[in-house]
Amino acid sequence: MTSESDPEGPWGPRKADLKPPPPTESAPQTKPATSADPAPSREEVTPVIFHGSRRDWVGIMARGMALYLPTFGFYRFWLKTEQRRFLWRSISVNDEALAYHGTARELLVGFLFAIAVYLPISVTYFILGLYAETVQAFASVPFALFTIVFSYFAAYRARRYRLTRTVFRGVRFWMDGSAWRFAFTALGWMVATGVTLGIAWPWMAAGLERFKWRHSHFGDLQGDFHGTGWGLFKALFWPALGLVVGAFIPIANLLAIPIMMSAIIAVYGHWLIGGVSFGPVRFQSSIDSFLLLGPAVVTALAVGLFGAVWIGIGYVGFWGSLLGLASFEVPQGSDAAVLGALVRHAPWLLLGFAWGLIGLVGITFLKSLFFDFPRMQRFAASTSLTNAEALETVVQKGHAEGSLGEGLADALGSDGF
Amino acid sequence: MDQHCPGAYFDGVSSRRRDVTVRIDAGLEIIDGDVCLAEWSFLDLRQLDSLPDTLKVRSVAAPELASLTIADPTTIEAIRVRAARLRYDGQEPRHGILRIVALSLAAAVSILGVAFFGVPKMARAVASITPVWAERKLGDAVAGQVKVMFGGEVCVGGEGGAALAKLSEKLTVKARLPHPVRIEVLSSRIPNAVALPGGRVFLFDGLLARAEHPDEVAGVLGHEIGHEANRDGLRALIEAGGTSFLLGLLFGDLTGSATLVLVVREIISSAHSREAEAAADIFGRDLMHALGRPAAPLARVLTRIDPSKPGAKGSIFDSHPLTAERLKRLEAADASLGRPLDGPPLLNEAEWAALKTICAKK
Repeated sequence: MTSESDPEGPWGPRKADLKPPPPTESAPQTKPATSADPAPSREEVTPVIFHGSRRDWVGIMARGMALYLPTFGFYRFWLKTEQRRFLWRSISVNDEALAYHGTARELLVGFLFAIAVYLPISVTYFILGLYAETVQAFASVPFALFTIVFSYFAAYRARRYRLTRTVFRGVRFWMDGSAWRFAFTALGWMVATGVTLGIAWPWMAAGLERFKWRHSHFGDLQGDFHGTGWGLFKALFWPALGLVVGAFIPIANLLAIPIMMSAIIAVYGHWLIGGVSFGPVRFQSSIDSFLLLGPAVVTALAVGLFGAVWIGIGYVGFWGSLLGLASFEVPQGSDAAVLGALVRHAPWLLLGFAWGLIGLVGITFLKSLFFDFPRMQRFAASTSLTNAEALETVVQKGHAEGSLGEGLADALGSDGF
Repeated sequence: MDQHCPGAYFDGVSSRRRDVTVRIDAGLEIIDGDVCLAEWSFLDLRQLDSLPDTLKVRSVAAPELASLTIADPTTIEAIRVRAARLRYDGQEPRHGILRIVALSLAAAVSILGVAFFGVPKMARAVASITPVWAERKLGDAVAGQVKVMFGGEVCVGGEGGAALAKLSEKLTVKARLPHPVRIEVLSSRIPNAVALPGGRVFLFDGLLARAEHPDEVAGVLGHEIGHEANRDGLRALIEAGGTSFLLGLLFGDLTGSATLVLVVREIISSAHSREAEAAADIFGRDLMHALGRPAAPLARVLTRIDPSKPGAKGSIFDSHPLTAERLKRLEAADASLGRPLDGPPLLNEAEWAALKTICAKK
């Protein structure tokens, strides 16, 4: 792919007033073409452009983190929606950006419904587990498999929700296929991965991505996935080995782990993005292993520095107050007496919790700023399409899917971005 | 006034972009050549996300995904002036943030309140209607785990077993529980005793080794029978499930928030556990008094096991009341009973010696 994206485009000149604005200073003009990235024969290549500004992203994250505490985490539905809107609208192909049509309210409603669905299921599961325990101690462990299957079910439905809220050129993405079949396929792969001590994991990833993308559609274009387990295995081999070795070197592992993790994320991103197609439209990725090296080092240093200060202050302040808290006279007896004591010591309690949350929020914020943003930016800008003209004659076909899956995924803690 | 400008139109049926002319009149007219494709009323317009410096709108009266993109600044301004409801569909209005905060706070207070006050009452209610056979099944399940966790087997020494049976008999007859209690000694070296759901009590050999008088063991067993009488094991289990579930609603997926939830849960469950322990102490005390024996030996054996310094304070993370305080309270109760506690010994010397060695290898 080339670094100078041609504003005229191969599909005829755009109207002058519809030209994209000059790329912002933060949007990298993609990477210079490398010899390792041979142009496909005579096919036109359309770059994916990333328009998102770091300032907007910081604003979204800062507001999200600031509101996380006072809303006891309920702001997560709004934050997630804002993040997705930002990412979707920041990605454009041929002067048209993706659009995210989901709303926070949908997520909240999905979450409430999920609780209603999940509560009876989990109670049943609990009772069945107990019953198994009467036969044999720890016999309920296999019931944990149920949670795994249910998590994959939720993840599939959540993806379907996100996909059907994704609109491009006035046409909706959508998804079919049975979430249960997906979940049991995943379970089978997990067993295989366990039996082979993780060696089969790349094949599991390939199998599941194939399932997901073959059931994904953009209007009347069907998705597909071309990445193979062997391809992923080869790509992951050195970074994964580096991670395992690096993790055992004292001190140096503080940097080795994030660096190797960044390489793993990069090669996985390359494999994932580069494997996707919709009808004749093929995705290409020029991500290389070192694409996220800088962000990983910066993030590790920033989080390390922040963590040192946080623990330093916390050691004096938080633990001091926690000790004070832990040793106050405990009243015996009634709820009211215990509650009264809790209220009297509420300032210490709140201070302790606030400090704990500030740490979590701070780390999340730093990571989103120094790692997540460059990752989105560089992944998008490293992507290009061939046969993109096929995207212009697509006919609407799918319809919006409910948000129950997202709610279940949230309730199960198995949700992705 | 008559304003024209170019725009890009998608009809929401296909992905074909039409280069159209946009005319601002009574509404927004979308014209392709000579054909007017659509006329959108300004009040129907909603904004969609679009590339920087462009305005993308849809009409609530048009097909859902039909949209119009305009780049001309004058026209954008003209539309903004006229379209009063032009904002992103899912976007909260400015005061919306405050509402979210207020409602979240209310939800959190309600969740914590239910976790603190509601769940124990609910657990008590559920425990009281749980059939005894179900509770016993549950107890058997937990018993298997207890044996594995504390590493021990049930001791069935001949004479020791007989002594234990005699002690159990005396205690349980006086306790008059609606369901039978089964007391067993587990060969674990940990000085402890546990009351499982369904009337199963495990006395650990480690505690037996530290005990110096039958009344001390009887006091411990009386306390555990108190837990059985109140069905505390079952209640604690239901409570733990309930609070975990409720607190899990808060904070969601923020990295590490599980730790916070765990701490809050610990505080809540410890608070309720201290109450249950105090209630079991009272039950055990009355049981010992009914047998004409003192209640304080319970606290004495505990003091021997865990000699805490004088003046130690309790913490909100403690699951039991302070041993020193328990001792003080039980001694006071023994003293204020108003009749001598000189009932017949629960076990004679030989029985006591046999019980002490119930787990001894032959």
